[in-house]
Amino acid sequence: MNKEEFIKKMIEKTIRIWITSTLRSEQFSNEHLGKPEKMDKVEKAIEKIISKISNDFIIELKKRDYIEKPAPQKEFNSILRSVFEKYREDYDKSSIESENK
Amino acid sequence: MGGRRSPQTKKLVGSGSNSSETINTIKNSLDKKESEIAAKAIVAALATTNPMIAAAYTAYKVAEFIYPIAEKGVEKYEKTHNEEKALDAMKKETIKQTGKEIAGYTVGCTTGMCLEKLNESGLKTSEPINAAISEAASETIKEVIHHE
Repeated sequence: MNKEEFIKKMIEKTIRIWITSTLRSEQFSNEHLGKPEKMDKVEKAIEKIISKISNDFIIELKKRDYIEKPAPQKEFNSILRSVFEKYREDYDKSSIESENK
Repeated sequence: MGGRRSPQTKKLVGSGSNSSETINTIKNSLDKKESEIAAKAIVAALATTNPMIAAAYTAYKVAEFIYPIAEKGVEKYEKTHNEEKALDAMKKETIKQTGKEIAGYTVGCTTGMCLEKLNESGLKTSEPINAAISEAASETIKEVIHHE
């Protein structure tokens, strides 16, 4: 185990747990827990996406040496947002393409 | 996962003008789309919400604090293959780092003490963030100790 891997695992798991909590929050669970099979499939697919995003994010942190030295909060947030934005842009592009087919 | 408390959605997605849009995107995705497409839409909708970013930053700070403690546990486990001894090594390292005594010990103690210190130093967290971090820390430590 190294520090980079440890940080990546912590961030990845936190994001995954956060999204899962949102899906299982009171507001959604009242309406959707009747479909556990779909929720399980969605959660598995989310896990794969988060793993890819966390990999990209840890590469960006590493480039700036923020594994060995602490990243300031504003910069950390901005790096993470840009990784997510990139993901969102790719997602928007692919959903437009699939609608056009 | 089944035992997890169910917080209110607003707390998790934040309260900005985009939060209703985010909630609607998630609902529509779950209702109408295939699982993989729904998952992509959900991540895209939730990704840049403020509470999510705050949770990720807290995870990063906690990971920095806990890493040397987990490292002691891993070292001990690799030598002894004994979970109790690994936990004891982590307990000793936690006491060394925080200067506080702990009566009983679980991985949650280290995470709790770390979150307390982060709050004292001015980092704002919330009950849902703390819950997510505790679960993530516990899963991560189990994984690295057992190389799962």
